[in-house]
Amino acid sequence: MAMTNAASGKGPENEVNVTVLYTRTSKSKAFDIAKNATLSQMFDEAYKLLGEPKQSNDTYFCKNGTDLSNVLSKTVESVINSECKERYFEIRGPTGGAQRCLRRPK
Amino acid sequence: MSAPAKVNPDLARASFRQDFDLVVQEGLPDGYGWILMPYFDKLILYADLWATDEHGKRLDDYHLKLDFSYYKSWPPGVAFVNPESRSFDLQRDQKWFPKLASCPPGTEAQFHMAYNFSDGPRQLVCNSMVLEYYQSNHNPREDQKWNGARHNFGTTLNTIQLLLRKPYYGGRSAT
Repeated sequence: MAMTNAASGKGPENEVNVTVLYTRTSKSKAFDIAKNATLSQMFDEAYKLLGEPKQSNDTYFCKNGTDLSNVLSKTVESVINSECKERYFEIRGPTGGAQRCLRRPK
Repeated sequence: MSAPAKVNPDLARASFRQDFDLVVQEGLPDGYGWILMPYFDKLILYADLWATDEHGKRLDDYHLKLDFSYYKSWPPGVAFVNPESRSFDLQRDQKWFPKLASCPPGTEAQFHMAYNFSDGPRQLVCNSMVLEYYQSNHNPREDQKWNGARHNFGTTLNTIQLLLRKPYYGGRSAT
């Protein structure tokens, strides 16, 4: 697992270390990111560090299974204080299966 | 799609070893609470993992047997097993097979305890990261297909792990 410092323009006290796993390849990157960055910015940084292209059908989760795809404008700080306390995130590619399972949970 | 064919065992074993090292090096077993027991000679991996609630609290233990005979032209075969016998008896071992309540965004799947294959009924974890999906006439979209150059069995375990989290996890099939 490589550790990389993302250029954020902020001091260390305003940054947090996060890990993002790219499940297509099972490879991850740990890096520092500004607490006030959005999740979208955090995942963009992860794509860059992982050397992977952002794909329209990618989905985003916390390690605990919380779906983040609809909250990408939230700040990293707010999410690690609530849904993703472990600071470990996932970028998932689509997988196929039974069509009946396409429905979203209530 | 063509029917899956077994891979030369030496090649399958080399891919299995290489990806096992990657998955361990990336810290996935520790991070997700998996216990992995590889039998490289037999091309088998036993994986213990937990179903959890929305906060990561452990609910139920599950035990997988992964078969790497077709790896990595195809994904590993997957079966839920009784941890003592390391096999699955349809009458006695239903407690060791999970139910699915729903699916996460981007992931289509279903758990079948006894799916009718051409050689008789057996388990089907119906997802494109699992060998049996391709042995049962399923046709994924291009972006959903197993890609041996990119995917590995960590992808398979990670997909099943997500399905074993509430609200997607629906409990044991029997108590």
